[in-house]
Amino acid sequence: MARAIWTGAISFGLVSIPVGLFSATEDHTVHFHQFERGTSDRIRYQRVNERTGKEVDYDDIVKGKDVGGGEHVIVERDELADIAPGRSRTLDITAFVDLDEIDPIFFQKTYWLAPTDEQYERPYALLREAMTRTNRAGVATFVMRGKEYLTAVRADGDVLALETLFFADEIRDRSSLDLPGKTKPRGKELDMATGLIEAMSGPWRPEDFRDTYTERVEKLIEDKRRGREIVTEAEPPEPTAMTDLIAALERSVADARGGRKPEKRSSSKGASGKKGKPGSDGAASDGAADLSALSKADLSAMARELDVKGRSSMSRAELQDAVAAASGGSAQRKKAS
Amino acid sequence: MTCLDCAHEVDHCHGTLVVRVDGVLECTDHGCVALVRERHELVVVAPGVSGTSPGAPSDGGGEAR
Repeated sequence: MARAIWTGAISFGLVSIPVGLFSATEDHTVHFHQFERGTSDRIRYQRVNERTGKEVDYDDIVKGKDVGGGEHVIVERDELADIAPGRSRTLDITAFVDLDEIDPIFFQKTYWLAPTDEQYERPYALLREAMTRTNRAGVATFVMRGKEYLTAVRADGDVLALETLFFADEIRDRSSLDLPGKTKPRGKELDMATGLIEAMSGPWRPEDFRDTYTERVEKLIEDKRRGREIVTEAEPPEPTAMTDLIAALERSVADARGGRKPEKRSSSKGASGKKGKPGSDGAASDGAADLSALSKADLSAMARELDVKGRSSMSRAELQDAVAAASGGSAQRKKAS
Repeated sequence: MTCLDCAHEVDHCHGTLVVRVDGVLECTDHGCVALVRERHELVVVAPGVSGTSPGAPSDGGGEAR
């Protein structure tokens, strides 16, 4: 079973229910490591003392707040915990609100709450059912790892879900944006736009939508790993000129009503396959080596990956020969680690 | 000093989460299994490799939280 990222007790009135908090969502974005271009050398973050240059352990790190004039106030973790006694172990519901009243702009992230023991299932189910019946969510705050969270606890089928919310002062003032609020669209344009929305309306099916960009990133990586050609997609559509607005809307409505997707320009731009190093532009084609196009730094990195002995004292020409020999005539490189 | 999260056996990380303004997250703990804010006691906001991009959160550089 997954480990909770926080444990504590939901408290409402005189009822207290020990629970664990679990992330309900996960990020599938491709996380890249950083390398110095032309090498296989990772760039890493380290916590070092800027004076000694030595790495500092977690236990030896304290927080300091810049108070100006080059001065910092140092605060220990215990001191931060002491100013909110109990808050880091209690999810205290102070009010119940209608879920529909909460503007979506406030929602941050969803978690699930689970009772920590079977004996707490009854009060857990009681709170869940009562909130389902009333369509209300419990507003609560708690402290987790040095940060206070405003939350809404709600029923979600068989479980209690917790939504972290932005505090009101974290929502930016939109009056600073230059919004076209006073612009009133003309009748025919509005009718056409409304018709288009109606023609494109349907039930919300989240499974119909995929993160195609991440899929393309993964495919790009796989293609580069295998040395395959990479084909890029069409340019995004250009903004519609005001004079074309009605015509564009009419075509869109016709397409949507006809069950066709709006026409898109597509083109296949040049291939940019790679067989080179991280950061190199690809020096080979069809898996064959063209080591003569690579820099000495590129060849050095390849030699290191191929574990070529004596590479550090080799000239560029010697590196080229050694890499070609070690890779069996193929310059296809191993994946950077 | 005893870590309360260790004592409660909850999922957390002792590394420092580096939040770059270009949206990239990194952790000083190379074994960190989930780059999310709520697992980390120590968080810093640092400039990205290519600097602040338009529309990116302007949280300031190198700020510890």
